[in-house]
Parts: sequence; C-alpha cells; structure tokens
Amino acid sequence: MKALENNAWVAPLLQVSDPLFPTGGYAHSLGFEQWAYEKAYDSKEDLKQFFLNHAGPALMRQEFPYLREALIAFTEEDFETIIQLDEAINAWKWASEIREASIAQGRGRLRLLKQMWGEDKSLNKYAELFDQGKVMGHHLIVSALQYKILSVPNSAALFAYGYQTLATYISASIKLLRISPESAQDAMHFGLDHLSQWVEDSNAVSVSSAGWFAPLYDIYSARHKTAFSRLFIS
Amino acid sequence: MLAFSNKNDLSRSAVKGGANLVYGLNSLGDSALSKQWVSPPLHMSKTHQEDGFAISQLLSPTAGLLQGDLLEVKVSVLDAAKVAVISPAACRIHSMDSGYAQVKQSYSVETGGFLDVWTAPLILQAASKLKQETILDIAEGACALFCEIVSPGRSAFGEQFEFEQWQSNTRILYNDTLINYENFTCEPKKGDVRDWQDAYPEGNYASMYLISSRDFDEFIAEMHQIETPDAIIGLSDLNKAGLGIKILAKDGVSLRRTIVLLRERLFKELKLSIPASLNRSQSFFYN
Repeated sequence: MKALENNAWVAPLLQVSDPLFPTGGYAHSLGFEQWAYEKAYDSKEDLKQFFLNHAGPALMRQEFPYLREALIAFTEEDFETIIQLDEAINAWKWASEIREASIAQGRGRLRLLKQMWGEDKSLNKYAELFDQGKVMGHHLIVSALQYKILSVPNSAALFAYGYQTLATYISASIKLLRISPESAQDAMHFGLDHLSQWVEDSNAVSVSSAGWFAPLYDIYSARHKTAFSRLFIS
Repeated sequence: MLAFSNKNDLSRSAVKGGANLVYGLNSLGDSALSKQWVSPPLHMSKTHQEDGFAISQLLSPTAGLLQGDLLEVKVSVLDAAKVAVISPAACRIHSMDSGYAQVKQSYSVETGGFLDVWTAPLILQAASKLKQETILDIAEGACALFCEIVSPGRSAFGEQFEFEQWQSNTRILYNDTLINYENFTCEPKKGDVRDWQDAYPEGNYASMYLISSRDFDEFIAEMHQIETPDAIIGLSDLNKAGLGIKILAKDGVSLRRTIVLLRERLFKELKLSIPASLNRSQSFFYN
C-alpha cells in the first residue's frame, strides 16, 4: 500500500468525504424528509434550528463517542470491540429506515474501500467479519475503518464525519425545502461553526453513557416508511 | 416558627426492595405463579387466572421512590405460561437534594411463553433524579408486550420538565441477540428535552415493545393510518424480531386512550383476547 505520511491523508480524505464518492448517500435524508414536512420547514433558518436542536446534539451525545471508540479499536486491532459497537449501533437505531440507511451506506463505502485499499490488513479483517455475518457494516464503523486506513488523525476524523452528516441534511434540504444553494451553504456554514464545539463536548461522553433521546424524531422517522409520498429512501 | 422543607429528610433510611416472580404451568397445565419474593416498597395482590392468563397486580403502598431507594423487579416466565403483570398506581419519583432513586427491572420469557407488562406512569417530580435499567430477554418463539409511560412532572401542579435527571438504559434481547438498545440521560436544564416537548409541551410519553418473530409490516402501515386525537404515534419493526411503538400525547387522557387503543389492536393482531379482569384491574386506564 502506498505510504500515507504527514498530510498525505488530506487528499484521500477529501475524496471519500465528497458527495461524488458513490455510497448512495444522496438517496437518504436520514429522517429529515418527514421531519421537515411535519414541521413545515421552508427556510435556511429552520435548517439551522434543526442543526442546533437535533443533528448537533445527536452527533455529540451519540455518534461521536462511538466513532471515537471505533477509531481506537481499529488502531488497536480490537475486533471484538468493533463487533460489539456494530451490534449496539444496530440496536440503537430504532427506526428501521434509519438503521437500513446506515447499513446501505456502510456497505457501499466498504465496497469502494475494498476496490481502492484492498490490501489493507484491517480492511480485510473487517470484510471477513462482514462476510461471516458477524458485523452489519454500519456506516459509522466503516467510516472509522476508512479513517484508520488513511491515517486520519482522530479529531480530523470526527470533523469529517460531522461534515458528512450535516452535508446529507443540506443536500436533502435543497430538494425538500426548495431553498437556494446559497441559502443551503449559509446553513452549512452555521452548522460547521458549531461543529468544533460538538466535537469538543463529545470528549466528555463515554460509550457506556452515549445516547440521545429524541422520541418525536423517532416517531417521524418511523412514519416516513409508510408515508404516502416521499423523495428519499429514509 | 417551624420551617418546612419540601425536600426529603436525608436521615431517612433508603428502601431497597422489589419482587422476584417466577411463573410456569401447574400440574393442570394452567399458567400460575410458582415462586415469589416480594418486599417493600412493593406489595402484590393474589395472582388469579382468567382466559389462560396468570394475572398479578403489583402495588407500591408507599408514596413512591425517594433519594437512595432501589426498586428491583424480576419476572421469569417459564414453559408456555401466559402472564400479565400490571401496576395500576403511578410511581412517583420525589424531589431529592442529592443522590438518586433507582429502578432495575428484568423480564425473561421462555419459548412458547407470553408476558404482558402494563404499568401506570413513572412521574418525574421536580428536582428528582432517576436511574433506570430495563432488560427484556425473550427466547425464540416467545412473545412479550412491554409498556412504559413517563410523565415529566405532576400535571395537576402545573409541573413540567422540572426534574433534575432521568437516566435510562433499556436492552432487549431476542434469542440472545441484542435487538433494541436505548441509553440516554435527559436533563431539562441542559436543553435535553427540546424534541420531547416539541409536539406537546406537557410531554406525555409512552413506549411499547411487542417482541415476537412475526412480521408486522402490514400492521405498521395500518396503525400509521388510524386517527389518534391529540396524540402522535410511530411504529417501527425492530432489528430481527418485534415492533417498537413511541407515543407523545397532549395530555394524560389522550395518552391513556391511545395506549388502550393500541393494546386492543395488538392483542387482536396476536389473536389473543384480553382477559376482562386484566382491564378491570388496571384502574389507571379504566376508572
């Protein structure tokens, strides 16, 4: 494998974080479609409030602690922990569409990683566990694997994952809220302004205490599956 | 002049008690309570049988849980027994200066068994702290219906989201596989309840789980079409087995009405009839 030293991780990280990287993310709103419909969202200000009250806290309190733990586990080649984290993620994604979206994106990313970095030892071990049905291939775990392969520093990995999550909502909002690309970028800028705080605050959250209680978001995410009309798979 | 504090007396000894109940089939092949251990703050009425069910009613004769209290409930359903455990009185978590109250509950059902856990709400009063741990361990071919209701304050006092902290950890296993995991800490002062309050400020909340290997896709679609006045419901199939339901309602009456409606539909889906005495005993819902 080509050595990735110093800042050599930056270019491949940009590649795998880009919406052009075909993991199928464009087809998902991760629950945002039904939420925006029910809350009658129609502006970039609504999107900013969504980041502040939902997306940001969910990243900080639930996803980042798991991502941090997965990064450590891949670095230490602790695949027992990886299996446990993958199982827990599968169980805390309550709404089936959100769970399935995570698996679909994770599997898409894993397939691409195998094409590009197929000789990586951790990747091969994870792919073996996946083939044996011991892991589901959740997006968060496969993302952690990707950051490990690219030698991305942990803090940068959290930022990249946070960026990708916000970008999924931004991308969906252009279709759902019919806001202009400029307004969407303004909302993205707002979200990224808060991202460092969410990353920093997540340091205080261990995996054992990680979790986020959002019953209304769960309810709307569940109802999306049987909604009469919808643009996105989730 | 005497000064009265609305906080609890810290010199009071904490109460640590609960129930350990084991059900199975008796020599006649009927569902029955076979072993029991019950300790304050819980009291259990005599278990009776109806429509093939063994029905037990748990009550807390004390005012609720105070600082340092621990309530542990363990229910095991063996063989192919059909069991309903109900608690018709709300459990209040009282104001406390420091520390917390704790509820630990675990339910296990063996293959062929059925367990219905249907309790009145936990009421999180102002300045209360609760740590809660729930485990459902359901064997392949068994079935369980679990309902939990949480009220974020005493509505009669106009109390809403004034509790200090609610920490909850729920694990559901089906055939030894983790199929649902909820783990969170809610602290209103830290802005953790914006989503919870978003639809209805009073935040009457319930979650239900029906653990079974059957397919619920059609049922979910049907339930999402029904009218639930002043309440919103979401149903989702769980990973591998079962169904999760979340409910938010405008007030306690709407919440109760929605839960009763859902229970009736769920029992119908399971082709089970609800024993008349089960509903009659659950006086929180039928009064």
